[in-house]
Amino acid sequence: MTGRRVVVTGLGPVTSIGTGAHDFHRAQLKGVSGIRAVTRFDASDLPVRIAGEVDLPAEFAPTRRELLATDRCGHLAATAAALALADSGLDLKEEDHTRIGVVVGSGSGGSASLENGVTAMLAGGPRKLPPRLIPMAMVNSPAAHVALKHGLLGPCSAISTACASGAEALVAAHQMIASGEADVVLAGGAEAPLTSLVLGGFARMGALSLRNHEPEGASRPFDSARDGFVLAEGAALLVLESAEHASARGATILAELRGYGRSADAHHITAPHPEGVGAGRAVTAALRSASLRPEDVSYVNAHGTGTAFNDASEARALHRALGAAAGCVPVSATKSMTGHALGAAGAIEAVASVQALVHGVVPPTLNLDSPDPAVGLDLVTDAPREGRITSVLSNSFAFGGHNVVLAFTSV
Amino acid sequence: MTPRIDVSETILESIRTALDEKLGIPSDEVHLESRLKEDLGLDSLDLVELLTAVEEQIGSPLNDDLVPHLTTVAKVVELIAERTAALPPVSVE
Repeated sequence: MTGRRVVVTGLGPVTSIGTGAHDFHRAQLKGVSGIRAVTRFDASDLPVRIAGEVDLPAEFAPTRRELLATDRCGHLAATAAALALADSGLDLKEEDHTRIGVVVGSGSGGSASLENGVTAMLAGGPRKLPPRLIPMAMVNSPAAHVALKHGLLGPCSAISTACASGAEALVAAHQMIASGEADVVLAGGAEAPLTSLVLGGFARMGALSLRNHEPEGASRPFDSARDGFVLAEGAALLVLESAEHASARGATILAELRGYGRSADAHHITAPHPEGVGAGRAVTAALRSASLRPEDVSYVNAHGTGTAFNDASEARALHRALGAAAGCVPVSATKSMTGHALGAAGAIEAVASVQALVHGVVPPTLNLDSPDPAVGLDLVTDAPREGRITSVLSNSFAFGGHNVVLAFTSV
Repeated sequence: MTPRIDVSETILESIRTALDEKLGIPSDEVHLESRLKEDLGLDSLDLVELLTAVEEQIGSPLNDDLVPHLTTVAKVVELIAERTAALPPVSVE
């Protein structure tokens, strides 16, 4: 890895199991589920009626004006931004705002707003389309919203690579900082997919768990009884900055984003390569970029969705890239608790990865009662595992064959 | 004798309702002299939303060219009053 070193100084998770670094971390260690019957819309006619929903704390609840002018995706991103900035201790009044960037990944941006627009048009014709339809629905809306809210004037962009968007946003932020384009970047992902169209669409693909009767047991990555992933809303932004900038302001440095690896499967639009070839190459590239050997990896935060395709492919990718070390590196899957927040997932799991480094604890994987014997990994099941953690890989593998692996190290 | 209420007061109330429902602006902040952009914080997209709400009030389509003329609440009242002039005066029993 060349260029300036990039460190993490603030965490802003907004998830179905907890909002804010403290609550999110505590929930992970307790191993709680954020999955419940859908309340955000009437899902009664859908085959899947469970999801990971976020209960925004009262202080982050949008005003009526914000509710009408901004999509849920923007509210989640704005909350994540406020939390990340507060956690970093960055005093914006003291900063050159032209040196602060924003990158927010999202799979589909303002899905509910788009759906409302379609409904309005079908009911009353094009004249009834809300004038804010496009700015509320566009995929870069959360990124723009964060920049607007805080007056951040550096590079501001959105990245959309489905379930890898959040991790990909951190790569983009790394590149901005390493190259000198920005000193600080608020980066991560936001997703608000709990609408009849998106939930119904994923259900129609057969990708989702049908365990409506047992929401908390529905997300079970690497378990023999898994039957698909569970959709979730959520967001997470991290404050990344150059090591010099963080040191100069006396910030608490949580971890270094030491490297990353990316690849494309070019195999199928949704199915991962069955042998994990592309994902394995991304893991290898991340190790190389972070100057790590397989045996240096203390923990892998898996993509771990709980679909049979992902789990098998991801396990093979890890064996392929880590070799003999694959069997003895602790692996766990955050989605077992949060559900799958698509474009936010990679960023939420980056937060979990940094927290594992900071606290020296690998969080458990919920519902892993009967690990799939074909996986052959050291899965951390029902209790957190303490240990010396110096380097963590966080995997994100997306529909479209986008593979992104982040490598965080202690400082 | 039928008690009459001021037509502009009725229109003002309907504008207050529209601003509250469509844009989340509390009714007690809306007065005849309120400037839509400066006082109520409306932007150009909000003005299009308001125009649509006015259309619903008067029951007939309006030209988007009117948007730049929506400067104050009084102007909007005037617009609705003009367009509904052909209708019988509002009265309550």
